[in-house]
Amino acid sequence: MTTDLETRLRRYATAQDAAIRASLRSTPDSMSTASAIRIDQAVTAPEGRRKFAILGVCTMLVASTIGAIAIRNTSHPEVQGSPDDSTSASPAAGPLPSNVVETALDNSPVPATSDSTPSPTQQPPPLGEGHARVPFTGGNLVLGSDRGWEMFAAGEGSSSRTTSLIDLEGAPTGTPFTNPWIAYRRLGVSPMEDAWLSVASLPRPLRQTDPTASAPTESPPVTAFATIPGPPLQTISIRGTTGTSSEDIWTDLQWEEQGRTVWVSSSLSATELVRELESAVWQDVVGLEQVAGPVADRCYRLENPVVTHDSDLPYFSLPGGTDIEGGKATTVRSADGDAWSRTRTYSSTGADIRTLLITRVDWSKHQCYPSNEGFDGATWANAVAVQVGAAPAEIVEDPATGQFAVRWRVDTGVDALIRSTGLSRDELLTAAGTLSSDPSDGRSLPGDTSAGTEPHRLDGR
Amino acid sequence: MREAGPKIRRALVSRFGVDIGNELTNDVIAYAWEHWDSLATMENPTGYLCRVGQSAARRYHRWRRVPPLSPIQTGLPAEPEPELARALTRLKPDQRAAVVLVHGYGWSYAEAAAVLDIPITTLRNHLTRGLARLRKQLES
Repeated sequence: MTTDLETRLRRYATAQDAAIRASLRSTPDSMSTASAIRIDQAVTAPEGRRKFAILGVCTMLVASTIGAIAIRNTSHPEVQGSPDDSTSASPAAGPLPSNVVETALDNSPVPATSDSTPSPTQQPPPLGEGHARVPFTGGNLVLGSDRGWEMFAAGEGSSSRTTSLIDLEGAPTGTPFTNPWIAYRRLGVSPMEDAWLSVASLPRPLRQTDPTASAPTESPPVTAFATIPGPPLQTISIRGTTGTSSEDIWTDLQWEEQGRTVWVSSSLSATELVRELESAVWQDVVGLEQVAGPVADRCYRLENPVVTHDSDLPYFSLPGGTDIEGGKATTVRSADGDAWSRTRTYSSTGADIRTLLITRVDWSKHQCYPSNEGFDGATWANAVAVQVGAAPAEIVEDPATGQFAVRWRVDTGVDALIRSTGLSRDELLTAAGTLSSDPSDGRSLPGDTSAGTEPHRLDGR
Repeated sequence: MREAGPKIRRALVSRFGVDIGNELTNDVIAYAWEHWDSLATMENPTGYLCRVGQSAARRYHRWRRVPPLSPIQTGLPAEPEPELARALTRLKPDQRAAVVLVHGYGWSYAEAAAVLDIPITTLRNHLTRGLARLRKQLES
């Protein structure tokens, strides 16, 4: 490091600090919209006033160290989300994209907080509250969105809420869900837009795409399209997880250790997948290899992804097991005791846990067994599957490749966990540790009763 | 938070630019409020919160390939180091954050690694690659 470069970097850092101060000074409302809304929620919660006071103090302390105080008054009319707010969006929000239909339908009051996400079992709110009925009868519904939009789609049988991609599949029984509806809200741009939009803003047109056509390389701002029927387009998922939103891949890959091999199922081409990965601010995606897979989706192997841990996601392991180490991670070891792998358990549903535990073991490289236990792979996988409540688990070995696959019947979510572990629901939730109890964030233990049979291969192929 | 807040803000701004970095920091503060109890039990809550901010940044990046930050996007003045600012924006975010925090702000390796919630070896790696790339950019 030359002295010259170091000096220049210090000047840069000084300039950056100045820019931070200037930014805070120029935007007195710079407490983000989401923060403001959450604070607004907080003061209405029973214990919220105390926490809000703490947050306020902290914020002031932080701000004072850099010369600006940017705490916003949550009683400001803007935060209340009046129906007319959408017409007075801040310049930062910009107009709705040209391909968005903006239809003022009525002036019904709109919920103003993130807790306002309607339950899928509820009737959709009346038109005008940021939702629109979709001319859609079944199959998969896929919605893409640009930054800053949160979407919520629901129908009888399924629901989804995301900031990027919604992929609603038909009900587990194969019955297409009915009465689908969609709600949008834009996040973090201006206070009023953090409420559900007061106008229906369904992109136009909602188009039916050709499932055989290649996926568009980039989603234009706020694009919606439906695929009826056929595989979802532009959907990436870690194969085996119950979710199919792109969230899964970001989440999962970020949890992997550097040097691990990651198996990815995706409907994207290799080029598209690499682009997606790199655009998610990861770098050095190397060794992407497409391999033939037993499922319809293409299957990829990512060698040595340079990824980082994403510590804001919860992970836990169920208690009572003898084969999985308690704590935050399960460590498995290669047969020669040399190469170590780590299998992290996280997610919101028993099915996810089960799947991740199995698919994250790189069977193509290691014959893994839990620490201090001499199980072979099939025994261990079976034990895992049973432990997390997936029963019966059927281990199938492919004689051609020598690889394992496992099949199981998803029983009934939490009920299966309760049966298999002997724990009460409360105990399970306690065991979930850091998991949120807020079902809307997708991290809580499920109460659903979805059932189905899914094949999964241990080697990820 | 009095100590952690400015560190997190610097880290996130170094990585994502002033506008997004500030916004993310605000999100992080709100997150800290929401998860006050669990944060108190963590070994490295600062690093954890920084990760929270990085994760929140995904909503700004998904579905499109993000071009390198320009000095305008970062909100940095063109002076006094316009060439350096341009070169820094061409670094990968991890590398840029590591370089700016360690060599710009003069943080120790341990301090920067803790805030970024990465091992020191990884930080060194980012620094080595980042500096090499930075020099190359400046020379060209």
